[in-house]
Amino acid sequence: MTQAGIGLRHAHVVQVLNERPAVGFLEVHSENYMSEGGPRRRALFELRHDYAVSLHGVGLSLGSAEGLDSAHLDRLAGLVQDYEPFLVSEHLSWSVAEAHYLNDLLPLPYTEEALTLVVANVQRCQERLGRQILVENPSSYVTFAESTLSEPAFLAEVAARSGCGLLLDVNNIYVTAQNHGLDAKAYIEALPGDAVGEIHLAGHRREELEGGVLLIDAHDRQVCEGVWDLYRFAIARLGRRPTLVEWDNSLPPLEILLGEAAEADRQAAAALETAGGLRGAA
Amino acid sequence: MALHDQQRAFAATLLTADAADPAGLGITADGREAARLAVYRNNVQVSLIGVLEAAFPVTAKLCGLDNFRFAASRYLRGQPPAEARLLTYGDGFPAWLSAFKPAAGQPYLAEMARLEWARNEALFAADADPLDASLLSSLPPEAIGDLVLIPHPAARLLQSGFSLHAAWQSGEVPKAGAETLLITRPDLQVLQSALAPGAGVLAAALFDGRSLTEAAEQALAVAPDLDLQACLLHHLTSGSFSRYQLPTPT
Repeated sequence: MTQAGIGLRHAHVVQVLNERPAVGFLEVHSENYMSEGGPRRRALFELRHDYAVSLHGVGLSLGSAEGLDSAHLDRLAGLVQDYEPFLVSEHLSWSVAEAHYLNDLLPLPYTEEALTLVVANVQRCQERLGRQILVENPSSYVTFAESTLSEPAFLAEVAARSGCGLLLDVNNIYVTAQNHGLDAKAYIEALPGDAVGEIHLAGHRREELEGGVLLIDAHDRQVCEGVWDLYRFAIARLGRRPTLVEWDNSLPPLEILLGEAAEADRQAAAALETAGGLRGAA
Repeated sequence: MALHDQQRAFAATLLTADAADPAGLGITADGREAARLAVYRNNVQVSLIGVLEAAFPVTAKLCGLDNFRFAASRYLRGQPPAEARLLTYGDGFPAWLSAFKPAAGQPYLAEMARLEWARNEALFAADADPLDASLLSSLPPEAIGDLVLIPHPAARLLQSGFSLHAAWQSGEVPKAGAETLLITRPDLQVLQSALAPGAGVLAAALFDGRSLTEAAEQALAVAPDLDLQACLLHHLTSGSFSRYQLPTPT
């Protein structure tokens, strides 16, 4: 059985129900289960008997200046009650403005104003759910001139002030670092390691854009060697953490996704062996 | 700029403008701000068009995919999602499509979209056990006529001027002609059937809260030969109703 988990997508649900593949856990997008009833909810109820479930939200919009949508937060609390997930996570981003939901993880300026807002939203969420959540670092394509904090410093402050944990998305760090000319390993070193409760891995796409290269967080292919390298670096620094492979677009057969989860286990083991060897030699 | 104003301006350029305009957003990207902002704009629009395509696959096929995507892109500008629960996104699309000028010559498109949305609602509605026929047989026969049946949370009745049922199955252009469609989900599967005219009147009256006797009278008025028992059996096996009420004694 792998320790790593997989993002469960609708096209794989029947096969997972029938075959119950040996994976560490299943993660779903919370919003997809916010219906009153229906087969999706029923399938997840069945699967939670055999698997640890992680609820990963893309719509709470912790960075929204207009605050959280109470109805959405109530529905999330209902899911937490129904499915008893071992992890609940959301993103450091916003997607709601003027009560319109934009279905993307939009970037925040890293200012004191934004920090105060995000901390308040995270606290409100944690109080409503009655538990800690993890907040994920985003992929981004722009930065803001007014930012006064680096992204990892901002995340560290959010965790320290709100008591939330962090979901370290290694692919997002790779993408963001490449897009903005940052040092990805220095980014990881700047995060409070104890706060990291989960790691995400995924594939990204390279695009030529006006004479430069832009990395797009596409979740449409296998994890690249650069991201594996960064994952090994993170594991060597943090030790093992629940690790998830995400794949959302151009979804492959389930076996390929399971293979990625197995690869994540191998990479983590290799990283710990190397780290142990280094410590032993020192 | 205050964060709230910044997010409103950011949202507007992603959703409503014809091109992503980075001016005034305070973003920096080495002189490539417009191209970078366009990535977000593309993410937002392509993903929401994809949500509508997934909810209205037969409508999209009847439209032609390019035409459907164009219509969807116009719809989402005027009616972006009101909540993050995207399984509800598209509820206003059938009505919007019926008023969309480029589709004026194909009124069946909005009708097919209505059917697909009814199926979508049925899929995600609350679960409930369908009414059990044995419950009815446990009642004294003289009480049956006064029964009011309560529609199952997933049950929908749809009346159209087109033969949607056959067209939904074949993917071909619906023919004109009145039709009443019953959409239900007794358990995990969405079921769909076309009702004959008398059966349609009966179903409409029952869904409207009429007693069995009243509904039967209305139906027999338009279809004197209607087999009421067969109609009721069809509703029971389809899962149209989940409960019943007896009139309170006066």
